[in-house]
Amino acid sequence: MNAPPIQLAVVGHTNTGKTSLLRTLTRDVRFGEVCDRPATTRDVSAVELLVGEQSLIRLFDTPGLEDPIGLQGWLALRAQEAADPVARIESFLRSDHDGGRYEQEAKVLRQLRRSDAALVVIDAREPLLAKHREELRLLAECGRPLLPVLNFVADPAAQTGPWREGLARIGLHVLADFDTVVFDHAAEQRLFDKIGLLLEARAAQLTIFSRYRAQQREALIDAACRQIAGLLIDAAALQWRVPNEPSSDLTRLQSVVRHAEQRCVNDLLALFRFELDAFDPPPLPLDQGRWKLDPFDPEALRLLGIRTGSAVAAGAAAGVSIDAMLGGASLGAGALLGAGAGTAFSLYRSHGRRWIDGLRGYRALMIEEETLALLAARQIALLHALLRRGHAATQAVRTGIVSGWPLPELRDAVLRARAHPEWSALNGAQDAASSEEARASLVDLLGRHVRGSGPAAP
Amino acid sequence: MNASTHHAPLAERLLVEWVCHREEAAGHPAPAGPADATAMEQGGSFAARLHLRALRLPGSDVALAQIERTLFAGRVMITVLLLFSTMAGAFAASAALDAAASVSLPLILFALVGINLLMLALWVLMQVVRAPGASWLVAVWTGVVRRIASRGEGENHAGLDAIRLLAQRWRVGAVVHAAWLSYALAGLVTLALLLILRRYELSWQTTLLDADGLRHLAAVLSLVPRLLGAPGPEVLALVEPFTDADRRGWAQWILLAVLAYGVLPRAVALLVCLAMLQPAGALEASALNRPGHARLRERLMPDRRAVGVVDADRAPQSVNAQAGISPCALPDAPLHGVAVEWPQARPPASARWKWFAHVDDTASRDEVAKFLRGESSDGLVLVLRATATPDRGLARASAALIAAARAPAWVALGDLDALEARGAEACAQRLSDWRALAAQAGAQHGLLGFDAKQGVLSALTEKSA
Repeated sequence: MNAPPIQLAVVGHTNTGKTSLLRTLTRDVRFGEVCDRPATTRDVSAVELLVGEQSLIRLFDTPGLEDPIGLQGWLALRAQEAADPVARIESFLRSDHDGGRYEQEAKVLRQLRRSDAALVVIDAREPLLAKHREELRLLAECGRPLLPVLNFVADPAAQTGPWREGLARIGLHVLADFDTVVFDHAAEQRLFDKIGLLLEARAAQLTIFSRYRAQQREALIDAACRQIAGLLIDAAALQWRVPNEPSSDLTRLQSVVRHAEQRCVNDLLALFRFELDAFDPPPLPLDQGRWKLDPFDPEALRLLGIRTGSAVAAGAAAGVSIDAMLGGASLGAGALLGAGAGTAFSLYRSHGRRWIDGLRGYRALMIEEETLALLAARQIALLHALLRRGHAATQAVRTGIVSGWPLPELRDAVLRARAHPEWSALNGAQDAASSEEARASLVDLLGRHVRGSGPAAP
Repeated sequence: MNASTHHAPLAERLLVEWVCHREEAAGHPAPAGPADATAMEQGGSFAARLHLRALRLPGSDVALAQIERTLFAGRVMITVLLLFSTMAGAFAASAALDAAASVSLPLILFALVGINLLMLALWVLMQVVRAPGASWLVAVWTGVVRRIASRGEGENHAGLDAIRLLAQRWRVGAVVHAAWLSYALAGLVTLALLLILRRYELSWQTTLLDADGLRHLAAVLSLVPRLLGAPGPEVLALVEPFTDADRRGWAQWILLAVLAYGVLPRAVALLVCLAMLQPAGALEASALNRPGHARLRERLMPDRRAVGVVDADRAPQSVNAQAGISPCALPDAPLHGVAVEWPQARPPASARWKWFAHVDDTASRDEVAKFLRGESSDGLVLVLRATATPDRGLARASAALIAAARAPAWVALGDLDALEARGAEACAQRLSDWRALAAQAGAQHGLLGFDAKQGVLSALTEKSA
């Protein structure tokens, strides 16, 4: 597709969140300058939204309109073009803008004339005033489709009803709710759908972009779930064999888990393209963990079965070559021998080693279930918060108080890893292949939970 | 990697995954500007860019060579394993037929199929309980690679990581099934050759079973071979005397039984494993979401491009310009009050107000200015919402009203609670902007607080100020 990018001017009254909208749509927390002050943006800047290498949409950030009433008054004096509003605007743009008095407004109107359409950003917390009506009339006179975007709709002070009514009265019936701080993926999809309504000829382009964004969202959730699954398996399978005497191992173990969690948080923030200092988790209440081997524990028995089976396969396959070396005379006896050896090895790995360690005065340090539950709940809460965080948000991410396993299946899947120290990268070595399936099933579980439970209320 | 040599797709894919694992372990992607730039220049899909970046990373040529050596060692190992399995099958068949007198058919079948089927059943069970694959194969392979590694490569050997990446249960399963399949095929072929070239006295021998028991055993074992067209005990004699037709019939039966119970199940298992394996040349879509890859997406496949400033600012700063104000107490005389752009502001309840109006649009602004010009006043108070943005429009409207009043002016801010709720820093910044607006508009006597519910003026509280 070689169509030129759709040119969209982002306009509106000063300090309504135009740059914030750009930040959220571009997923770029560093775009422009955001500040709760008038005239923060004074230049017209552009940014393109890409799909692959193709630029599909070009967005223009414009300064805020500040004195629409004054400008309308000035324009009213130029009666010669009154019959053609667009000609009146063009005439204004060719002028000196009343000696530079309306320079900022001229920038906005000039850019709108050069664009295919405009997103008119409205601070829904503000009352609808005469200056807003004048502003919308002024923008409409540029002869380009306008899509009002109600910003800050998640704020309790938002007055969406009066705004809808007021906008309808001046002929603007198609509008979009889109909070730049409290992000809503569905609202973003609707926003692009509505732009498609206004720019029918470019609707296909917008559909491609919208689908791409949906794919990106799914990929982002998947990547985030993989990150969390990695942390949970690493923490659950973390196991240190230490002497029974008091030592600093416990403190070091706690430090390792804290570091792993912080790295997971950093990775999540990086995936979502937020600043690394946006989240400062409270201290993790790690407690002493000690492996208590209970031979009647159903989980331990289940584990025994798995290990036995796996080792039998290894030994059996080994038997084939033993058979060959014996010249076929054993008729599979070597295979049986190999299977038996493999089973014994598996039993030793699962339980025997721990018994022997216990006799030799060693113990295994692990993370307690409660801490694992906390790790899981906190990462999932963080993921929910990030999924609902716009890139215009400047406040630190808050997840609230969380505790307990978010869902029972997650507990079972995570606790299964406690019996597999070879799965944890935190143990120094990782058997990636053997843990891959456990990680994949955890990712699947987390993904279904995150998508199914929907975004948490901010 | 600076050479443009073509490498095996599997080796290159393993290199990409190895890089991903290394960067995940490091916690961040490696800073590799030239490799990133090359990948960006090349274009294509994200997977293609990841691939090229991995090839261009410093040291990737060494890693790739190590991976290729590892793969070569793996192939040699598999070849040896298949060779030994083939020999084992052939020897097993010849040993089973190497009997001086008559040869027991159930014994031949057990020798060539029994252990094979038992191991297959165990493998199926392992898939049900999702146990990992044959670790001895991986251990041997790792040992071989360590032995052939150069001095100093040690644990950083990319080939060792490649083994861990490759040791998926389907791949290991495929090797195991291939070995057993070659065992069964070699046994079948050897059996067929020997039965063609030599004369054997095949028989159904038993010590424990009686004639009916033996017949039932033969009938059960013939269930599957019969589907392949083999004759069974219903047409062939089970006990002496045998005719030539019986001997040929039982020879066909044993060949089809080995095929049915030994070769076909392993062939099916091998096909299942191969079908479950990832394609060797490309990264799966889900693999692109691995944390190590996903964090590179923004770097290699950006979804936005900054164009920059297209219309630079030339206008002077207006409202934000700082100007001095001289705070002054309100006079005792009644005052004129005007609520600017705040239709909800309540009419004044205090006797202090002489008159109170609302200004919103051009018409109301002109009307109020006209009134103020015709009145003498001891002071004018402009009432505004503290949460409103002090923009140029408000400044100009305020200036016009103050000029019309020709009296001392104050700016009174209501709705301060809502402003304070935004935080101390935001509140202080906004009040500073209001002071600037007051000074610019000519309200030289500063800011006041305004209780919108009571219509009462007050000094700004310390908290707000």
